[in-house]
Amino acid sequence: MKSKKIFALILCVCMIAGALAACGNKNKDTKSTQSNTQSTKQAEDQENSEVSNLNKEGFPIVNEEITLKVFGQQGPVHQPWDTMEMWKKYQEMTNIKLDFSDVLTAEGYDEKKSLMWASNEYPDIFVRAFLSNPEIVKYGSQGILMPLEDLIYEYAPNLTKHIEENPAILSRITAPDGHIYALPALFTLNAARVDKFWINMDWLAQVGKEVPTSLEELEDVLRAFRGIDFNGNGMEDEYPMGCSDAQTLIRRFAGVWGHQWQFETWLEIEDGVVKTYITDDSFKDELMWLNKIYEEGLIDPEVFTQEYAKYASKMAGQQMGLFFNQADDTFDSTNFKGIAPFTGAADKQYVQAGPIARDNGVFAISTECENPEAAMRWIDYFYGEEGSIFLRYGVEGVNMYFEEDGTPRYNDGILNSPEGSGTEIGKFTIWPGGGAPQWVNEKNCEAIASKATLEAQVALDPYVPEQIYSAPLFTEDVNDRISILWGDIDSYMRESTAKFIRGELSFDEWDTYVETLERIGLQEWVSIYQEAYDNLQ
Amino acid sequence: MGYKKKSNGDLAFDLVITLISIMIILIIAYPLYFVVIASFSKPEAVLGGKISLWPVGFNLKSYTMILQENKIWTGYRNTILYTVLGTMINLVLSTLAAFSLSRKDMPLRTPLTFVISFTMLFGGGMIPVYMVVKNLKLTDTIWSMVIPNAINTYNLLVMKNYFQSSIPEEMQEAAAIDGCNHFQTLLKVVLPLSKPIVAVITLFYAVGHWNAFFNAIIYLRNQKLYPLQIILRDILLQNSLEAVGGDMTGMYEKVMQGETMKYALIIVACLPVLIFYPFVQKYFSKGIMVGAIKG
Amino acid sequence: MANINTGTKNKKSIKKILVSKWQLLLMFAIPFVWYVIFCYVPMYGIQLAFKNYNPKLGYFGSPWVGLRYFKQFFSSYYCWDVIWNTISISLYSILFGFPIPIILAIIVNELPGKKFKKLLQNITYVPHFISMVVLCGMLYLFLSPQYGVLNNILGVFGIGPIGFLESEKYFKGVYVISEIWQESGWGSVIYIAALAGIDPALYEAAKIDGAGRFKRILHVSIPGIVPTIITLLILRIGQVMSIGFEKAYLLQNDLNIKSSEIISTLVYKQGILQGNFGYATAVGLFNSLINLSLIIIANKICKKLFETSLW
Repeated sequence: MKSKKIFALILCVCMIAGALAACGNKNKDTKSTQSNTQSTKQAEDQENSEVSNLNKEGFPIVNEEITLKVFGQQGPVHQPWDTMEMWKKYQEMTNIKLDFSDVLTAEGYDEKKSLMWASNEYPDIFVRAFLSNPEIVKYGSQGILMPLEDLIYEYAPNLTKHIEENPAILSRITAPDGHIYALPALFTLNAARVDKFWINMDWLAQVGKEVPTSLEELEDVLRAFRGIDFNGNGMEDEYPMGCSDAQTLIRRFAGVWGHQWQFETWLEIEDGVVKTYITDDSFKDELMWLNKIYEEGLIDPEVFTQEYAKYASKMAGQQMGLFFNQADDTFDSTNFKGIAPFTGAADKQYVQAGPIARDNGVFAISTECENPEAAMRWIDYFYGEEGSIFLRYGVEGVNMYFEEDGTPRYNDGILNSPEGSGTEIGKFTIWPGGGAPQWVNEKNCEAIASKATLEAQVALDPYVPEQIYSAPLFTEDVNDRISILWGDIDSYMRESTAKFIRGELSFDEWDTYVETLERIGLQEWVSIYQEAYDNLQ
Repeated sequence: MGYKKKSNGDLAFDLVITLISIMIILIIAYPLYFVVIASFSKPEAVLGGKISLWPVGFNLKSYTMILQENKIWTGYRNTILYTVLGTMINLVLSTLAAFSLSRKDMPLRTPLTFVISFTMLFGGGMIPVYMVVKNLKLTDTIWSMVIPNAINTYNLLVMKNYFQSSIPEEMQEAAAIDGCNHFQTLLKVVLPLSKPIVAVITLFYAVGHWNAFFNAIIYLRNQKLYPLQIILRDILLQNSLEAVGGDMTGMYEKVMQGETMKYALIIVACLPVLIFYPFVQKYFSKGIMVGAIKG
Repeated sequence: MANINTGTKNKKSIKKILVSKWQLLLMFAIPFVWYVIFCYVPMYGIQLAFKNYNPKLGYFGSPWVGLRYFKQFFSSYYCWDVIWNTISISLYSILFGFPIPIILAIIVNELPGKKFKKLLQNITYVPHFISMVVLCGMLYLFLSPQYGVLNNILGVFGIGPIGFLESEKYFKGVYVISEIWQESGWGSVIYIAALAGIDPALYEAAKIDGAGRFKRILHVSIPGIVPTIITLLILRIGQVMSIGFEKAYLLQNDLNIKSSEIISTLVYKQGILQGNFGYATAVGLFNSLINLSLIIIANKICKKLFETSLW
């Protein structure tokens, strides 16, 4: 009786609530359809004038001023976007005004982004909006993001050129339905995609060894490093070899064992067949070697638990003999040298480089946008030589200058600002913090790639695989499946490999490890990538 | 004789609990002390585990970097406003609901209590609640900081059960016979007898508002309305790896500073609450109820 | 049902109730309206657990997908381990963490010397204000096998060093003990208040009866706060499945993942990071259903045994 009453009451309340909610929703629906028809009408009306308003080449992009509403993230080190020199200048150049009222701060950005998707009120363009792969596919197929492929070929000559030169970019940005809903940032600069092997030349000199080229020599050098108080502080805070985390360490040496890093995961492609190597004997070999040197005390034991900041402080404090980092951003590299991967374990070594289209989802156009052609021309500038410098260096004469040979340089005081160069650059342009629509190449990389970094890259260039596929875009169904599969595989593999290296799991258990991965669904996981690969061909 | 024995026992008892208390204080105080010394130390020393008893590389940089942000003061102001206003609303609504549900003569009392408890377990999620707040035109106003969280069911139920169990029914009945209506009973009989619980609930609500940041993230865009917690998180974010997108070129010092700033932020954020606490505490002292119940 | 059958009679009695209880009903009305608007209206969002949400179609127009997201969760190889981890951490935390604030409150209540009493209270409640990031950072520092304070102390006794956070064996212990450290003082505040509400005459009477300190605690203090204890216990039992994600996530690493992966961290990685809110809602609903059954059972038992209940 009582429970019936309660039930009836809850039902009542829910019904009222539901009715209220339904009302609210209906209103909104009709409103949005109204505005939709309105906007299509407007678009039709404008089509003729639109085409004449748009200039197919050069600046301004439009003759009569138009406004684009921007959604994006103002990075933590950015000044408000409406005060940035770069945007001020670009609005003048293009005659396209930008409405920044939907540019949000980084704190709580992800939550606000999901509210934006749910709100049914969309901006014209997404700039530095950190659209994730699942978002791109989902909202693309739902008709919120505009398919861009036709616009690219017609209005984006710079981007088209990149795609022609590096067709692998397409694998990054093409959704399973064949459309392109979002654009990537491009890193043709190899040095920006590869972790260098940095070795401490001072330590080498102190122990009287040569730069190691094979695994055997490396072991020898690391053993020589062990137990010496190089910094003389009386504490045991030096490590022969260190890395940010165990998985990265395994990845670096997987390259030494001849494995690649395709689709941004533990995969490689042989004669059109996608396969994983995490159950291979060679992978077991690698783990056994890591286990051996770990037990000898040659690897920083904190590699299993530390945060990146801690690793960074060890780099800066010169506490490691050999370590891995993309640039010399965190340490003084004068006594370090970037070396090549070690021979001896496989016929051919690789470095596990990232793809050229490193970040995806840096730009998109919503279906609400009335001037998609202009928006495409607007963004394409940044993929060209001049525009890429503009985005990274800001306005000539205000933030930067050109040397006589045409090399761009930041104004004095920017790169060595006491506030940090990122904060200083973030005052006038949007790239600090990543995720910006940018093209980073040899010419415009002054702020991120030092001379030493570029030199270190030379040692690695021969080992960069020719084709690097990025993580493909999956349909929503496949993505739902793979996020579970990969989540389980990743957890199990992380745990097991860490324990193999620490000797907490004996290599007698290797078969169990392989069997368990198979049981979780390793083959299904690989086959999903195989399918994606086949679709790309 | 019996008397003497008891007081010996009492003495021993006092000694034992005093010793236990000292141990508790030490266990709790050391990490707190660590927070303080870490906030004055060099980031590398904190990360390297080189700090144990006093600061290493003493400096005030974390504090100067936090306090030089002008936004902090508007943050304090907003947070105080939200805390005071919000707590007042909380107390009124919770007391009304708790009192009515604590009364045996409340119609549909059990089912209504269940309906309320039900909301602790089931909710519609972030987006529908946001839609309600938005349709009520509360977003980007101070009301969005105090209305959507106007009642905390947990606190309400604690209060209701306290009213039910600690205030003798006979007293409320006597008040009714004296001609008090329900409002008068609440104000003149129940609340004066419930000072400790009201003090606790006030504390819970006030601290809840003080530490809250999620509603501000969702409902506020106007940075002038940001509460302290958001501003502090933002400062920390400016000095983090996220800010530099993983590339520390020229930003190493800042990112490192973030590591000790975390500690300083705790002190900046909770100092006012620590000052406020003794005022609440005085309602907890034993004997506050002397005579109350008899009278 | 009953309402419809006995129409007129009921109408009269409803009227009567409205007349005599209008004040109580009015008092309840404002909070109730708030509950309807801010809690019950948004509950249409629960549909998300069974729908593939498309903002263009809205909550009501999005297509149904049935139990797809529930199946997704239960298809995870780890799902039962993760459920077990969640429940066991909760049970440990109730078993060890729940009584400690009560004991602490009694100690505070019994301590001689007002100043010392205040000091104890003031210090124990501060950890509540320490952010999770800093708490977890300190745990890593204090428990480090290389330089951690705790291992240094254990080393004096010839134990260790022990990698407390580098093994699945210790994770739950670290989680619960650090929670006790952080929340006990804060949790004790409510019991201290409840103790302050006990009529001092009762203590006097017990004293006259010749009861010692310990007996007075047992026969006056504890019975005086039993209703509060029971209320909080029922509420705590209603949260067994919902352990916050932040702490477990921050303390998680490759070596302890077997016991540190809980429902909320799994949902974060496999649902929220993937933008799959249907999945997150579905798992949330599953948790809520279990919490609901537990709280109903606990409520029933407590009503019988202690005559205290939530409803």
